[in-house]
Amino acid sequence: MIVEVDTTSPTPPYEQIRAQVARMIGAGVLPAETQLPPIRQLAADLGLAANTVARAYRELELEGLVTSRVRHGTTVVHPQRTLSGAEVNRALTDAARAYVTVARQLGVDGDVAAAAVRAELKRR
Amino acid sequence: MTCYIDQMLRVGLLGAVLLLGAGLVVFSVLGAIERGRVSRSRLRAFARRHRLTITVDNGNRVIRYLATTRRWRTTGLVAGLLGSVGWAWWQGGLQFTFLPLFAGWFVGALVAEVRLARTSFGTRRAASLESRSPSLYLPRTAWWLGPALAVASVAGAGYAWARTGVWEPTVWLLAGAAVVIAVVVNRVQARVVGRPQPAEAADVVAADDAIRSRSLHVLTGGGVTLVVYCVLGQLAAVAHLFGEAGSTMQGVVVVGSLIFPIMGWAMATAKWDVIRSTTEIESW
Repeated sequence: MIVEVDTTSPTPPYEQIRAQVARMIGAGVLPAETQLPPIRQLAADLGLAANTVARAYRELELEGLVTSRVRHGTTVVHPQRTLSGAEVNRALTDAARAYVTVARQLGVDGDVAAAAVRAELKRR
Repeated sequence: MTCYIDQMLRVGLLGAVLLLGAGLVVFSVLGAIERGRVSRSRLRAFARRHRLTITVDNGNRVIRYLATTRRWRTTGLVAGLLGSVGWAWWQGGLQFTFLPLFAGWFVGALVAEVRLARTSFGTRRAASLESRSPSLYLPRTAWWLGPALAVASVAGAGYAWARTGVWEPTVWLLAGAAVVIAVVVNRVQARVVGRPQPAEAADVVAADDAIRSRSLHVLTGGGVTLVVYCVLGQLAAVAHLFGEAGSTMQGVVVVGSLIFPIMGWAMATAKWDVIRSTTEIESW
């Protein structure tokens, strides 16, 4: 599972991390008992300060999505509410719309845009 | 007296000039040889040790790693050689000893790992949510072997002092050196595990895992060997205080100084499969 951060985005990096991890937990992609990487590791991989990742984890803990224990790290707890199939589809459609908008603005035809998606899906 | 000092100065100055000249020649020759050349057989050996499939995307990463580590390790080896010969010259003789060469090589290996940790980030950054732990890259026992031996070295120095009542400064100096080596190696190892990992295709991540594992194996093999040399030095320093047992200790020192570098080399070149790196990629 991958998280992405755009440092030029007006959304603060900790919020970007929180939102992505929360979405993965909600969709069941990160099941209960999954261990999240240590704060230092994720911060180093993203080139961010450890405090930024720590804040994202803290917010997730406040939402009741993860639990942090000394020497055990941060683990996903069983979510009280998971995303329904319709909600997942809606989120996917929104993302697809945004992507198609960018593709159209770039003057790229459908086949090329779809190929780019396929290549990215294969890469990860 | 003045004449003697003049003569010593002249000999010392000549030695220094010769040493500097030899150093420049060796470094420039090594630089010419080492500039980014990695043989195919070396690449294959690396891939074999980690069951890594070299692909178009990960090949350059592995080559860059092999070239960087070899450049710094060779530089360290040459520095150790020059330092050793220079010191012997200064003392009025000429000799080659293994330990300074090996120590120089190892310092080069440490510097290479520190340099490899440098990363630049763009504005869009990605990271995997998979945890990395040392045991993914190295046997757990190997990770703690160096620190355990350093503790044993300090304990051994204390035991020798308590048993004989003789304060041997060399023994404590070597115990201190063992602790320093173990701590430095442990810190650099932690840095190797913690350095940023690219969130890229499986073959690139597999290559990155293999590189980390190889670095940790080399650091452990070299670090443990140096710590063992400190322990052997301690044994040699106190052997004369232990009567008959001292000759056995001398024997251990002689045999150990031959065997342990081989064991360290075996540890450094041991095969290791990073479990998540076993994804099959198109063959090379």
